[in-house]
Amino acid sequence: MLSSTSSSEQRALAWVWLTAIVVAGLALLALDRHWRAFGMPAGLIDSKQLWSIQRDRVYGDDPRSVVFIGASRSAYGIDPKQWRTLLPETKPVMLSINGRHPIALLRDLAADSNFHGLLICDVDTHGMLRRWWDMQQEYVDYHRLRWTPNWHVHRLMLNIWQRTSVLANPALGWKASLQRAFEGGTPYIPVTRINSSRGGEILFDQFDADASARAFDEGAEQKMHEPLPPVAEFWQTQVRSSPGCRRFSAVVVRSCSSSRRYPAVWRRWNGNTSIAPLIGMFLPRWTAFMPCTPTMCQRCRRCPCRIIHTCAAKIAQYSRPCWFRRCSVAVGSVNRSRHRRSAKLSGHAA
Amino acid sequence: MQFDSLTFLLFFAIVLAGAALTRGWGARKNLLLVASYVFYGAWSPAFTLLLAGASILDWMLAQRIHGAGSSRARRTWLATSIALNIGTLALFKYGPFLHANLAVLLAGVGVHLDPWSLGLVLPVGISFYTFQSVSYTFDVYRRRVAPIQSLRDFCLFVAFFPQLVAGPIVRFTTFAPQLVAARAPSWSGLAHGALWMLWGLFEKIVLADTVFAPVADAAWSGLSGLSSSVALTASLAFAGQIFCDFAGYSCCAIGTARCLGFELPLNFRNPYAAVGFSDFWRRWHISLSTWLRDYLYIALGGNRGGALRTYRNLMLTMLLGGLWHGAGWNFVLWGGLHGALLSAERFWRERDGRMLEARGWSRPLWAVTTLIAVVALWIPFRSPDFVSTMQFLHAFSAPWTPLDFAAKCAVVAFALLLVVQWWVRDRTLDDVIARVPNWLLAPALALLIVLIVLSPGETNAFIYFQF
Repeated sequence: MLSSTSSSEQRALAWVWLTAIVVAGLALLALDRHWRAFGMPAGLIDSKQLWSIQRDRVYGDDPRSVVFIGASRSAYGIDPKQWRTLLPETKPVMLSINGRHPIALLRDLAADSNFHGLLICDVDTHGMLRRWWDMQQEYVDYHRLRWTPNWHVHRLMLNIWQRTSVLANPALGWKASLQRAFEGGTPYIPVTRINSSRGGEILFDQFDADASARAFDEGAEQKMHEPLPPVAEFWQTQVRSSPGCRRFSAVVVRSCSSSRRYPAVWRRWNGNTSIAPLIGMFLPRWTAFMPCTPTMCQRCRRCPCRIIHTCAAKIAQYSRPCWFRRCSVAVGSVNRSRHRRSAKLSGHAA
Repeated sequence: MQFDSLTFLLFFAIVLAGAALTRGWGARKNLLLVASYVFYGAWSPAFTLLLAGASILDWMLAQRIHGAGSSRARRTWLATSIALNIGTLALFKYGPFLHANLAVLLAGVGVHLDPWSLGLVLPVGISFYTFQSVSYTFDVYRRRVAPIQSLRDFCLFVAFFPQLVAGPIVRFTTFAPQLVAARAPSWSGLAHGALWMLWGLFEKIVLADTVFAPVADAAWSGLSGLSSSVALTASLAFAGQIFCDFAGYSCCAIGTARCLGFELPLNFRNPYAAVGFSDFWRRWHISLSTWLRDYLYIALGGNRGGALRTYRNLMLTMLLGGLWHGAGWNFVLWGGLHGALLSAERFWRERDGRMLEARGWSRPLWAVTTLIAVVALWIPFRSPDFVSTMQFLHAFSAPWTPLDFAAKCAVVAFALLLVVQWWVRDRTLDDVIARVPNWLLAPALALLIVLIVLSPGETNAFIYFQF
């Protein structure tokens, strides 16, 4: 038993622990240095827990919450900090999730009788298809069933650790490293950044435009064989005429990337809509239009705030109760060029 | 609060410091009680009221049982206590299940029952602390222990945070002496407790969450189109996951308690190195197995009353044991099959005792049979329903496909787990640590720390929390 442990044994065990902690600490420090030298940055990593902290913030009337839901476009296109600067009487809440269409969350917030804020939903026509409705359900379920004060505190502490050490990145974990040792390859250096309020940012100076275009080409190849979803105007009509819809406002946007394949997809679509598309193919590379330009944002010349400039004035006009809660969908097209989209938004919203 | 969360690290540091600095045993127990409720409230503050209410009620009813003049009055108070405890458990845990089955039965006679609409959330760890309270009430009723006079001490027995949420299910006879003699954190207890905690975190974070869970989860989330190789790997992965998850929790619980100066009973003793099914249940979730044996199997008559009655009692005990794990027919099936295997083993042993216990070729054969059956029975346990179980089993007849890296990793880890369990088959972690020289122990601990830090995936809840 413990009480029978002699003092010499205790001392020996204390030395064992001390040695183990020092050795482990040095090994981890060396690894951290190695990956930093490789170019890996330390930073927050998005997760259900980080998202759930924001999900908790949707409640309350003072200040009024403005909740953004959507996928990558809004996740990396809207800067909550900038929003708060421009509209200090509101509380921006970023709930967009990269790579997932938002209908499940729209449904969840619409059914939440305690939520009285303003909901801005950015969804493309694919995302309106029933088969993509549940993409964010995993997050909704996590928040409803597993989110506890314990995880809230845990995540706040994890934020500190992730900002401090690159080793908090799962890509640098022992299992991923072992896999690379067997199968080759190097860890992916992220080209996006996220802050604690889940404001996302794309690091365009580190962005591989060619690789991105290739990826979109591959995606477009597949999309060419899929049936196209109904156009945005169809969804607009559907939502507006749905029972219980009190107030609905939609901004319809069409645009596409500079990817060579995408225009073919758009051309198939053109016959169904009267809105002229914005074709990014005129631009030789993404990088040509992605870094901030004066036309993108007159005020701060930073990418993330351009949508705010186009929409803020319009949204500020609406008074309580929320103007399109329960039935509001801002419908956009499949969009890979945020710059082009913002230009179009500007035209429609003005 | 979960042992593998940073919140717990902060909480435990504060509690440990508080316990070390607090003078007086009574004050230290007050601190531990408050800490236990904070620990529990970190999941859902509202459920601390349920925990407190259940504890106060059981404490009062035990006093009534003890003070009752007639055996009839004693039985009445016992029945009240059991009804309240099991009723609460049934309401939260089995309500929707019972309602759904009742609806199916009534539909057969043309009666429509509205869907379950109470929407109750299952309080975490309710099965564990209910069983702990019930064992105390039974022990008082059987006059094995005198009821505890201090409400604070009883509440601490029920809510002691290291074992509150997922066991081990501690008996009052084990814990009561520890409430009498003053205990405080010591350097020795801290060093040994930290070893148990580190090993538990390694099992949970590195093995269960990083190696096994992704493989098992991927297979069970995409049952259609599963190949035989993936199904086989996923079965092994889940067997590894559930052991490392639950044994990891138990190790952390024992370690945490030791740091505070308490001793909790062992809950796992290398179960995958079992030779026979009764041996498996002497090694797996020991505190539940012995609880079921002492308060259910023996209460039903045990092996008194002939062979048939013994098999019936065995089956009933295992069926209810299965149901304890969750409100679903898949858990009943799992428990029932284990009961059938235990009965078959007993039948066989009574006919030819030497066959199973003998050394030589039959021993490894029986061990392999046990392992295969145990791993196979985890399939209905993991599957959400019968249809999924059948789908999963059907995959074993599908073509063999090459395994990806994660699956290979899980297979290797499971093989290593088996080797280690056979190697230290009848030893505890303390025995193993005592045999390892310090020059080897230090780098081994350093390696565990490094592996834990380098497993920064999504933190999963312990599987047994849902039970």
